Amino acid sequence: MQKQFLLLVCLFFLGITFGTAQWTQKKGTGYYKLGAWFLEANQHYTDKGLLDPNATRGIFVTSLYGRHGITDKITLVGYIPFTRVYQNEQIFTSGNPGQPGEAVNSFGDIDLAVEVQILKRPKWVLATSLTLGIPSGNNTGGSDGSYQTGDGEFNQILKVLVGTSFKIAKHSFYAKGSVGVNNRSNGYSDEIRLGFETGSQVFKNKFLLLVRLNTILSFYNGSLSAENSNGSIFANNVEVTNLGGEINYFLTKKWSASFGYSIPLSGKNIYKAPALAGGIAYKL
Amino acid sequence: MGQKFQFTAKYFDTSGTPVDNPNLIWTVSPPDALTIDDNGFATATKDGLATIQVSIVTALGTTISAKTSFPVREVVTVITETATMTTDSGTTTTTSDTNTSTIDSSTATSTLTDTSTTTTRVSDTSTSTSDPDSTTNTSTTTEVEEVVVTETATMTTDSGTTTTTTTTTTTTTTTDPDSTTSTSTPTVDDDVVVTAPQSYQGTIQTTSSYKLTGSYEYGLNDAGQLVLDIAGNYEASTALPGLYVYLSNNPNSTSGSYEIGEVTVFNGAHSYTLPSSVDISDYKYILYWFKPFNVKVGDSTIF
Repeated sequence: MQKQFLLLVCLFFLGITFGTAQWTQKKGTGYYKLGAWFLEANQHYTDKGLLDPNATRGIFVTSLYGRHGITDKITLVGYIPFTRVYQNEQIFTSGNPGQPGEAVNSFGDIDLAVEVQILKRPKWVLATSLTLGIPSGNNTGGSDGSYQTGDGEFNQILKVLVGTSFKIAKHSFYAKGSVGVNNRSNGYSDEIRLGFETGSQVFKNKFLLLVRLNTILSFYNGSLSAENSNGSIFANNVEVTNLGGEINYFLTKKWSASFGYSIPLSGKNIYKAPALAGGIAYKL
Repeated sequence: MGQKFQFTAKYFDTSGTPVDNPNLIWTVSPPDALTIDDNGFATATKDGLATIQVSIVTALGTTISAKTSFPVREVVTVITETATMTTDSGTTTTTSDTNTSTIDSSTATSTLTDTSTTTTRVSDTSTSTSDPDSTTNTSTTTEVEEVVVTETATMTTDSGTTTTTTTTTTTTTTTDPDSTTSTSTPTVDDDVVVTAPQSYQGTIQTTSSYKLTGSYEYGLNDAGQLVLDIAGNYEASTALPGLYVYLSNNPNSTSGSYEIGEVTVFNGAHSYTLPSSVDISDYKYILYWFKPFNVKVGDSTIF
């Protein structure tokens, strides 16, 4: 469950990171970001989508994200997370011994992607992407194996992306949507991933405000469960709908700083907690 | 002779840890219904409904107590039987009497089941002397009748304690063959046996949003091993790797508990065999605990 959750959160914050990169890069240009996100959760969505409590756990991820245009139509994307999963010491006033704290620090699962522009028109762009999820994280972290920073499986996400720009009351906006399929291995269920994002530059183009809605739906076709995982892997069949927002402030034409906030609206087998994100980006 | 009972009580502190040799205070209501010593051994002194209460003063100075009510009898049944029979015949009489009574009121928390069986055995020994030179025969007949009455009373309280009382009454009757009457002399052997409960049955229930349900029996198997037998109607969510089963004295904590093990069966019958170091009365609750999240998923009260 936490493992899945971790991946999902990575996905969401990848989305936030992607937010300032509207379309595929032109040849020789790029966008690079040093970012971090954080959350602490004391409740989670169960397999029935209901809320249950849990011992408070936290995740802090520092990441490098970059995208670089090798041609006008092909962009390479990379995401390298360094993850800390922790649980603070539990102390009970009733005299119960509680539990000691624990933490695991390691690289998370690295994502490598290629984006290909299929069509470009003055008002819209159609592109596709293939993302490879490299199992570089630790999938057995901690004393009980539940402090994972990766899922140990190699997954492939194929997406179709559509973007457009428009004006409302003489104010320019952009919007983009994506539909993807995540083909997962090692008994995990495959997933459908839906994304929508819209934003606009305001205050003399010094700020970019955007809102993002991401959804993951499970095919429930995986064999992995507590019954056959021997307890070492968290639950399969994660679903979530996540709403987030982000503010980007352009320090210069090349440098910008961002702050993001997101929260799951519903889900299954995933933490229920808001996440905070921040970063510094450079545009080449 | 009054009924005898042995009561036991355990005191657990706030963390669920049993306290050795607690200073228990036993009281009886009404006071003339029973006598009880400091060890919880009670003897009935009158018929009626009695209430036993055990109390202890905690370290914080507060008094906590528990009580149970049940019917008692001052005198255990003694059967005196006078047999009248006609000689020169072998007679076999078997009498069976079963009496079951149940106490059920707002204060009575015990169920009393009383079963009595009376068996009469008659033996007939005859000696005959015959004089071939005479036309007169002499015959001597002695009949001995033994009446054995076995009475078993089983009381099960709400807390699961089972008390069995067995009373055996033997009546021997010797019949004078020259008489049409006989007399009986009853003897009474009153034996009180107190036994610990051998098994408990219950239902596991979820305390979370995860599915967890099923019946179980917790007790000794034929080999004398303590076993938690989960029935075939058991179902648990497979979305919970890291689910563990515990025996505990605190329904909300695994502190001081015994970890049976990780759950590997999520549907159907299975069992856990416990080590000899665990006694059937050591733990009051079964807990299902999601270990990575350190939260309870389900439980059951054993007794």
